[in-house]
Amino acid sequence: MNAVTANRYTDAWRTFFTPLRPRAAIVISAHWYVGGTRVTVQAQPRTVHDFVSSKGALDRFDYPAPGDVALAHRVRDLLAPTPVTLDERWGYDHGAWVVLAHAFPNADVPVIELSLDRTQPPAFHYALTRALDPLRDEGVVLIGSGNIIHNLEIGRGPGSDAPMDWAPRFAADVHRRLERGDHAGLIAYDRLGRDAQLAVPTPDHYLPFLSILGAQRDGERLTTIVDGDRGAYDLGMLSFAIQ
Amino acid sequence: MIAAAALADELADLEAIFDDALATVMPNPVALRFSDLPLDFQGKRDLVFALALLAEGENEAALIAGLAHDALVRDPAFDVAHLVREAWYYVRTSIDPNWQFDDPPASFGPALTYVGTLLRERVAAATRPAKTPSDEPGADARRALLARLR
Repeated sequence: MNAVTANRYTDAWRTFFTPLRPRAAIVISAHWYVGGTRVTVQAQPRTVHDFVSSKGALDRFDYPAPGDVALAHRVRDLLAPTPVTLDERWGYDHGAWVVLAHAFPNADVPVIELSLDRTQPPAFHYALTRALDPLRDEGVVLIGSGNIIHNLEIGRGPGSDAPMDWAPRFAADVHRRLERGDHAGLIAYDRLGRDAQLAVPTPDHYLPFLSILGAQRDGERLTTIVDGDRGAYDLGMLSFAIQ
Repeated sequence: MIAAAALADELADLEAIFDDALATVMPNPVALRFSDLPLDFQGKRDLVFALALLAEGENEAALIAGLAHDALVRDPAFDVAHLVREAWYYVRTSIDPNWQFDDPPASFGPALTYVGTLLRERVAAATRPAKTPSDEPGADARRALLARLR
């Protein structure tokens, strides 16, 4: 419901993005997790309602920002030799528009989406965005939309009322590693023990984090837009920026 | 290391079960041959899922195995360990959402056999005249089945 309601997370996103006037945005969303690297290439992407319908406001939500065909081609060229498919079918999935609706509420910043290749290991996603570095000097902002903690399964079954003390522990571990620049440890999250296994049971929501981390230049600062501390909860909301 | 050819055999078996499931369950007044339609494995998955013959996690496991197979065809040395782990996670949490940890090594073979077994059972149940709640075994029985296939 972050798209249609205001809360401390969406307020923080809005405050952070308002002074920025990027020429365009590239969004890497947890919800475009497919068997290859793809980039949206439409002049006017559709709004994708990729969730179980609630017949409510989310189903009617439309994010009418234009795409950027030239930027999509540029991304494909920069990512070579990684094969990139120019995709005319996907659009803005809810991982993208939930954030975009607050980052650029007037929908006046062209946006393209870059998929996550689920066949590739975490290190691939970390390395891929480094190739997009020249675009950052051309006014293009990279946005990763996912969750460092995302385990909705564990909240469903019998015994789901057990304390999720692993969530704040893992969040603190991620914070510590970010502060000391331990990217290698964050890439190899599957070796960080059971807290990490519970926080990142599948890679999809975690990989956008690595994609953005991979774009960090030497000496760049990492700032927290809003901390994700929700206590012992199965979904983390940490948002950070690299500038 | 997983060989593409072995995974291809396991996927072919599962795909045949998908074809049988669709042929049995789908209303098909013009007698379409689903195995001849230009549906790739993903398309059949979508149909089987839409017909509620497989749950999301079971379906994901089949999809991931297909992606791993494609990756291995492109590069036989491609490391698909992360895909095996993800597929296995989806299978076991489809049985019990709290089954979060599983220490023995995972593999595609038992996961795909398990999904195929479920699909056959559910098609059989769907075509029986009267369905009863007892048609669908509980989590303990499912867990035991997956353990046996391993």
